[in-house]
Amino acid sequence: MSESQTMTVTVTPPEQRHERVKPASQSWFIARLNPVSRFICPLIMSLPLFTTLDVVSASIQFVLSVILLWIGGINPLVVLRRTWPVWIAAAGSFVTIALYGRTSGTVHFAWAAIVISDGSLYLAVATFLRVAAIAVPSVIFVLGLDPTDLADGLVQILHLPSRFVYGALAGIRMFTLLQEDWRALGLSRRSRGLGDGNPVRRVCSQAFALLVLSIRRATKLATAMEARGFGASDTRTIARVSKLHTIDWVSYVIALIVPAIAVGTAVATGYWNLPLTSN
Amino acid sequence: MSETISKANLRWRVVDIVVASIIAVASGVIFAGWDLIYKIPTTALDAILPGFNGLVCAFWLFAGPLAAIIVRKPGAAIYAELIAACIEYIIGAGGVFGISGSIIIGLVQGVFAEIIFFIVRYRKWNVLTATLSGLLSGFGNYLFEFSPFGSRVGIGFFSTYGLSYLVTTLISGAVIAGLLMWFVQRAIAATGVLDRFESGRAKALV
Repeated sequence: MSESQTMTVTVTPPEQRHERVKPASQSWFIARLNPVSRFICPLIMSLPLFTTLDVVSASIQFVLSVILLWIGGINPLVVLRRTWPVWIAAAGSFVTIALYGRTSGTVHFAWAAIVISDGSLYLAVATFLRVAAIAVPSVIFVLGLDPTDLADGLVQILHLPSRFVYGALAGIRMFTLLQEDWRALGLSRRSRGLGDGNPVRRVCSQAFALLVLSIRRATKLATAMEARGFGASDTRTIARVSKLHTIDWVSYVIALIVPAIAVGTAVATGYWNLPLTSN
Repeated sequence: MSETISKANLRWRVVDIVVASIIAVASGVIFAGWDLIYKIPTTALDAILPGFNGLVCAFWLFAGPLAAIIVRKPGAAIYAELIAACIEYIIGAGGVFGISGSIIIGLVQGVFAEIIFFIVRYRKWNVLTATLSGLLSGFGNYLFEFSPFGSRVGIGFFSTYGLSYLVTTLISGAVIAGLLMWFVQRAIAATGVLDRFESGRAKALV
């Protein structure tokens, strides 16, 4: 731009800017939970399911979770759409267990180590449902989670060592730089004539360069953090307060009731069985 | 090349934490990417060769051994594998496997990768301990997968499939998560970025 030209740039004063705060979750309920609770809830919910491998407990837990998430503000269709990788994983597990699961009842097909029987098909269905029942709520609970809020919670609520938690957070914050680095590395390699050729080789060698670059940056960052007193023996003061509220305790109670109903029904109907001794 | 340290400095410095974290973050990104695509090739592999999909499990195992042989501190393998698992869980659409299949399994793999370094009291850092670390991590993976927490509980530890999976996961862990990571660490050390670490300085003395 030549000096003779003038350009007007309109700037909104800070107090008039309206930046939309990104919600921490699509669900109004989950968005209000402490990030630590968003880890604890799926954990509490999944543990009882590991005592059994049956279709009743897993399907009840799945249906209850989907209904509760619906009440919590997430449409079941959205739940299904956001969890597509889970369904691929669950389908893969179904195939594996159907082919190699414990044999019992009528044998439908047998070839080499593959034996498809009534028993293995039942276990395959149960595994499919259990994978989905455990993973689907986990996915929804963690979507939109902010790592910084999580780190605050881990230090203040669970009292994990702050050096390690915030050190890890520093590593996570560098992740955004990694994508830019990857692009820059690709461009610079291309300008040196290294861009083409075997793509697998190129990706491996570029990934190595990225790793070296990140370690170099991490050592510099560590020096900078130490210069600002990070890792000192003095007690750390808190800038952002992380607390558990009533809603967090409500969520734990719900997280206990759901598997209690699911596993309880399985026990009452006689479907409950210990996974390692099943069939 | 064998390296024995007479007196190891076992206290974590800030640089150890940050570098272990960035290794874990990079690994976690790879875990998450792998989560999305692995099931299609491995299910196909399973249908032809029972248990052979254990061969690819090292793509979830390498964070622990790699961080351990770089920073050489107690708990480095557990820390890196756990953080990598949490990253996988947070960024990877919430983890394909839920909190158990992503985070608890990461903890188990990390603890098993750590065992060998604990046994040698964090003094021997060589190709053998690195390989054993990967191998044990694979063993931890096998135990978790076929336990009630894993998705292969319906198969049984000692079935043909189970034993075949055990062998392939041990090979995978030892070769990719152990041996290969040792050479990756040598290559990183050769670039000079590890000059603040014992593992980077050793190279200069040779």
